[in-house]
Amino acid sequence: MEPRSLAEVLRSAQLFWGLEPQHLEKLAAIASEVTWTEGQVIFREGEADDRLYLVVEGLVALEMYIPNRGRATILTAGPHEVFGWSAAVPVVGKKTASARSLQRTRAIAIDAGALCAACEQDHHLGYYVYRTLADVIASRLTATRLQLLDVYAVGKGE
Amino acid sequence: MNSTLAKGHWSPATGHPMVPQPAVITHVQPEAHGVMTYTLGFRDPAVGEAYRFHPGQFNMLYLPGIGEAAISISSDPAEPAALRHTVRIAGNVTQAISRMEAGGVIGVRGPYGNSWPVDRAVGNDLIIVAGGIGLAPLRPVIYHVLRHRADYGKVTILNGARLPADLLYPQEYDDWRSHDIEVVVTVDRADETWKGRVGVVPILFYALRPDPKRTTVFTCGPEIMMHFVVYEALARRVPKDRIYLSLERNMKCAVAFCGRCQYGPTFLCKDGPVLSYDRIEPFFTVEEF
Repeated sequence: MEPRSLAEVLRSAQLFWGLEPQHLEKLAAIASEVTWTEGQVIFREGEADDRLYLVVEGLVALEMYIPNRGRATILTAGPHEVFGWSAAVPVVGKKTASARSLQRTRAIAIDAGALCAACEQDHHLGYYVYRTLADVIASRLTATRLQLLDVYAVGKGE
Repeated sequence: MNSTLAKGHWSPATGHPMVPQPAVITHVQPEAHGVMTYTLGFRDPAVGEAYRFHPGQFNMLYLPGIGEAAISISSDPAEPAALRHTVRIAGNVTQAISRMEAGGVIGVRGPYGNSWPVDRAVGNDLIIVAGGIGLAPLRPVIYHVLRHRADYGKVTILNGARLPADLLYPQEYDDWRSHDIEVVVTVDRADETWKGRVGVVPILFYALRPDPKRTTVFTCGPEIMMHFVVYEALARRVPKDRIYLSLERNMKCAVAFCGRCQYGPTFLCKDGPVLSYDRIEPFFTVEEF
């Protein structure tokens, strides 16, 4: 995919709506298109994969391995959603879950090292990118809390 | 009863508002663990002929010696003769109903409550957000939309459940999709055999780009889920008076006398169960309210 097309795809994602054209082009310059077939492992928990991803089409499962129980899907990421955010958060430094495509999936991969460098050079871009990633991480936290609450459990009845 | 009972919702199709009419269970459809749909037919043909309901209304289902429970109607308002209630076991009454089979008799009085404002939403895009048993009172809306599809713009159903086996009415999703309705399904937990989405319902909003000027949201599910649905809808600038929730509280009389279902200045049996967010905002996040 051409950088201009990549920029357009990035802009179509809700996360990057507000990004100015020159910043979109900077992101597109360090991005590439990737495609996975159904069932393909994208990265594994604990690995130091250095890319984060924006799903264009398809569905990706984020999984954790539980000893003696096997893999459990904790979340899925579909179109316009980001996964692999930990690549851009140095203090985490490694993938917090494994990722596997549940169907043929197309995504935009962004080089995390280059992204960090671009954000260092352009603080306006950096502010926007990390605010966006904060949104992603906060939404994961909220979703996890709701999952922990087990909201569908039957309460006091009639 | 005094004359005020003859007004408005206090005159249910089943006659006197406090007297249940016997209805025969004609079919029992298991839906999920602890959830069944009961199809009922009134024993008195005249009652059956007169019975009408709107999407979102509920009936009081009565079992002699056990009690009553408010149960949403989950069937097509255009086919009131095939009256269905999807019941989840949650207490004494629903536990007793769960032991009943076709041929059993249940007392029914109703319908009560207001309805989803399907007329006010004409011309709008609809986002229908359901969690767990919350899809039951929304299914009549979906049937209404199927029958009047041209009256609405883009229609999206966001539906969640705890486990894949807990999803309600999965056999109907393809039919809904065939009417140009987007149906997105998610579950909180799943094993490797599940190939669909995992995650809570509110996060399905992330992929939506609703036009706030022409979007109406209907939601029903666990109240904590609806908190976050409202949050996500407001974040996308959907007006507060176009976000509708169906609230649940224990009900006894269903005719706005006992106050058991009071919610702020409203009685959910009379003013609800469907309320727009602008009406309940001051109370919605108050603990123990």
